[in-house]
Amino acid sequence: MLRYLGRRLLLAVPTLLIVSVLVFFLSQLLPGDIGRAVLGPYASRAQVAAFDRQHGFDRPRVGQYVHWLGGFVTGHWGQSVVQQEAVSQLLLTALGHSLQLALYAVILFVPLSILLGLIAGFRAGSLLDQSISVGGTVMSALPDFVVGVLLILVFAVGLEWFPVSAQAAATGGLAVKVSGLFLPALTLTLGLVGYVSRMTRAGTVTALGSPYVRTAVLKGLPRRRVVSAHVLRNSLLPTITVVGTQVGYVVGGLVIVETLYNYPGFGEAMLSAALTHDVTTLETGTLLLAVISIVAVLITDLLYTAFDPRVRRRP
Amino acid sequence: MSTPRLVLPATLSRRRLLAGGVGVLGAALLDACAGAGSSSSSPTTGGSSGSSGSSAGSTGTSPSPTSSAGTPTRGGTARVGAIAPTAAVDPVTMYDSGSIAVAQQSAEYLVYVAANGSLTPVLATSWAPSDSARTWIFKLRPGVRFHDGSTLSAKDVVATFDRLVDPKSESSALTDFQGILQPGGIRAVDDLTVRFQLKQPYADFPYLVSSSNYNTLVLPRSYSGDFQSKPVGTGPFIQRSFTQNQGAEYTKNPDYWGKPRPYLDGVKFTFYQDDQAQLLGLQGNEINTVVTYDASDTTALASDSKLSIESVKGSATFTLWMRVDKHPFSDQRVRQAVAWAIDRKGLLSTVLDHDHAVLGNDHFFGPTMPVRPTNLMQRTQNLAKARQLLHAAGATGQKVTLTTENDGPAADYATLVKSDLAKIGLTVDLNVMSQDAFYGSGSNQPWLEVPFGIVDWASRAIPEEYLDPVLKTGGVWNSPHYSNPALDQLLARFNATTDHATRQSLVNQIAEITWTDVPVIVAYWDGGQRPVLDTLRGVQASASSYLDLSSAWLT
Repeated sequence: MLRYLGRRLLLAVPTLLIVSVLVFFLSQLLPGDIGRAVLGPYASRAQVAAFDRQHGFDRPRVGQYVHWLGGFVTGHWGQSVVQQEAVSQLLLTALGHSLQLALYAVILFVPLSILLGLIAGFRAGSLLDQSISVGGTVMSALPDFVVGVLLILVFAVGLEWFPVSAQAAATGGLAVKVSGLFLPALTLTLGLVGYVSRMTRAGTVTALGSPYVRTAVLKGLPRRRVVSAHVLRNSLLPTITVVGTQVGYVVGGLVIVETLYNYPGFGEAMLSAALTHDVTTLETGTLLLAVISIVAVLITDLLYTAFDPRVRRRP
Repeated sequence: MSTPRLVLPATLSRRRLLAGGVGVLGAALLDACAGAGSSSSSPTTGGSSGSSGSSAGSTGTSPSPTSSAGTPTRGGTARVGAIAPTAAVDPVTMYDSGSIAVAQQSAEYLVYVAANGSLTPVLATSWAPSDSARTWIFKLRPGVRFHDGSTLSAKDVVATFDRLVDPKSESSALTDFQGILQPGGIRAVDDLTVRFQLKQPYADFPYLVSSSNYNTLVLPRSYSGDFQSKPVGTGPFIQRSFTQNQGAEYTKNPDYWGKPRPYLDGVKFTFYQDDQAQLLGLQGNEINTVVTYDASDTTALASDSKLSIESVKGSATFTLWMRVDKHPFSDQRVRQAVAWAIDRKGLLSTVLDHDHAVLGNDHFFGPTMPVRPTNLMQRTQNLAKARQLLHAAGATGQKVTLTTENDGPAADYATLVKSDLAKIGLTVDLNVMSQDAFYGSGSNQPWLEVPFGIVDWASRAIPEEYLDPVLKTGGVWNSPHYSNPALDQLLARFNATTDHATRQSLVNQIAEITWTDVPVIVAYWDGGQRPVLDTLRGVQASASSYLDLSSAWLT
C-alpha cells in the first residue's frame, strides 16, 4: 500500500512540472501587461515601462519562471502587485470559501445521486427509472448559468426564501452559511446528479445481474443483506471514481456559479486575477488547483482501493 | 504639448462576463418575471434630467441637488453595488469606476462638476484667473477637517498636486497636466489660498482640478500611498473596512463641513465581478443602487415598479474616425460622403434606444459642455448627396475595413454604418476585436493605427478634453492622424481666452472646421443611467458613473 502511494506521488511530480511550465508561459500570452492594467489606459508608455521595470516584469522569462516556481515550492508565493496583498492570503481565503461550498454541494449531491441511482437500478426499465434518467440528463445538459438564474429568480427574487448573493455566507455563522449557500450548492447538485446517478444505476444493474448476487439470493440471504454486502459495494465503485474526478471541478471550476451568486471563492478570485492581469495570483492559483486535482484523484484511487481489494494485489 | 484629461471609458475597466449567455438570458427572464409580477405602473424615469438648482458660484451648497421630492430623514445605511476595483484603490493611479466610486466616498475635490456641466464649489469656495488665464488663485473652505482630525490647509492642496505632476508620478493625471502645470507651479499663498502658476494660458483650468480629472482628490500632505486600508480624506463618509473583491463599509463623518449632510448613517459597498449578478442583487433588494449600469439592461428593469431609472444627459459617445492620410479617406469628399450617409436618427432609435441620447453634429461640443456652436445646420442622412460626393471623389465601389471593439453599442453601430455605406456604393468589411486587442499595448495599438474605426469615449466636461488629444497635431489619441495648423492655432487661442463672446466665436470656427473636414464623425451624444430602489432618495445618475451619496437618504 505504501509503495503504491509512493509511486503515485512520484508520478505527480513530472505532471506538476509540465503544468507549471504551461501555466507560467500561457499567462504571459495574455494581451496587455501588468503596468498597463494597474496604471490604466491613460498612463503614458514611459510610466508603464517604469512600473514594469520597478516590479521586475521586464526580466528574462526563464529567470522569472525559476524564481516563481522556487517560491511556490517553498511557500513564498509573493505579493500581488495589482491588489497589493500577499498572494497566499488572497488565494487561501478564497480557497477556504470554495471548500465550504464544495463540501455543501458534496453533502447534497452524493447521497442524492446514490439514492436516485439505486432506485433507478432496482427498478430498471420502469417509468420511475426513465424519469430519473431523463430528468438527470436534462439538468446536466442545462448550463449552470441558466439553472442558477432560474433558481435565483424563483427562490430569491420571487419567493424571497434565500438571499440572491451568497457573499454574506462566506464570513457569516453556520445558519447564514446553510441558507446563503443553498442555492449555489443546489445549482451544482442539479448539474452533477444526472451524471453520477447514472453511474450508480449502471453499477447496480450490473451487480444485480451478476452470478454472485444470484447465488446470494438463491442461498436465501435476506434482501437487505444482499443489497448492503454485495450490490452496494460493487455498484459504488464507478460512483467513487466519478465523484473524485468532479472534486477538482467543484473546488476550482466554479467561476460561473460563484460569479452569479457573488460568492468570493476560488473561481471568482481566478476570474478577477485574469481580468485584472494579476498574473502572479493567476499562475500560483492555477498551479495550486492542479495540485488539488491531483491530490483529489489520488484520494479517490485510495478509496477505490479500500473498496476493491483486487487493485491492491496488482503488481 | 498639452494633453488634457481623458476621463475613463467606464466600460474599459471590466468586461461583461459571459455577455451572450448570462446577460441576454437573464435579462429576458427578468423581463418576463417582472412583467408578470408587477402592475402597469410606470417607473419615474428621468425625474432628474438636468439639474434642479443652479448652485455654481455659491458656497456651501450641495454638490448634487436632491432629485427626489420630500424632506430628507436621517439614519440608515445605503447599500451600493459596484464592479470590483481592478487594482488596489489609490486616488493617484485609479481609473476604473469601482475604485473611483469607493475613493469618492471618503475624499473630495476642490470643485465638483454637476450633472448639467456647471462647476460647484467643494473644498474650494471660489477661484479666479489673472494674467490671461496663466495664473489661477483658489480660495479654500475654512474649518474643513480630515478624518484624522487635522485641518485642511493650502499645504495639503499643494502636496496633492505636487504628487500628481511629479515626473516620477505613476498617475495618468501627469499626462493631463503636461505643458500646463509643473512641479513648483503650485504655491500656498496663505493657509487658505493656493496659487497655480501655469506654463501656458488655460481658460478652463478649474475643470482640470475638478472631479472631471478624477485623480485630483485632495489628500493630506502626509499621504504615503496606502489609501485602500486606511483612507484619510475630508469626505462625508469614513471607511471602516475594505475587503478585496467583496466590499467596503463606511460610517458617516460627524465632523463633515457640509452639515446637515450627510443624512445616511453609513454606506455599504458590495463588489461584483459581473453586471448580471449585480442586477439580480438589485432585483432581490440586496442593494439600493449601483455605480455602473449597462443601459442594455433597461428593458429588464423598466417594468419593475420598485425601481426608478434616473438618467442624465452627458457628453459620452462612440466616435467614427477616418485616417486623413490613408486612401480613400485622404479625400475630404469621401469623409463627407460617409458623414452624410449615416442614419443618425436610426442610430438613436435602434442602437441606443434611450431618451437621454441626442444627435451629434461632427464636432466635439457635447450637450453638457459650457459652450456650444451656434452656426451649424444639423447633419442628417442625405444619401443622394453622399453618393454624389463619393462619385466625385472616384471612390464608388471601393472596399474598406471598419475596425471596432466588442463593447457596448460599438458592434451594432458598425453594422449600421456597413448597411448605410452599402447604399452609397462603399463596401465595408467589419473587424470587431476584443477590447484588449483593440486598445493593445506598446507598438501594437490598432485603435490608433487602423484607417477606419469606432472607439468609445466616456463623458467629458469640456471640449478641450476631446479636441486636444484627438484632433490637435500630434495629439496622444489622434486616431485620424489629423493635422491642421489652422485648427491648432484656434485651439491655442481658445485655451487662452476667457472672454465669453470671443470664446463663442472661436467655438463656431472650430466646429465649422471639424464639421466640414470630418476627420471624426460624432453621430450622437450619450448620457448616464442609474437604477435606484424607491427607498433610496437624493441619488442622481451620472454620465461619468460617479456616485455622490452626500445628499442621499432612506425612506
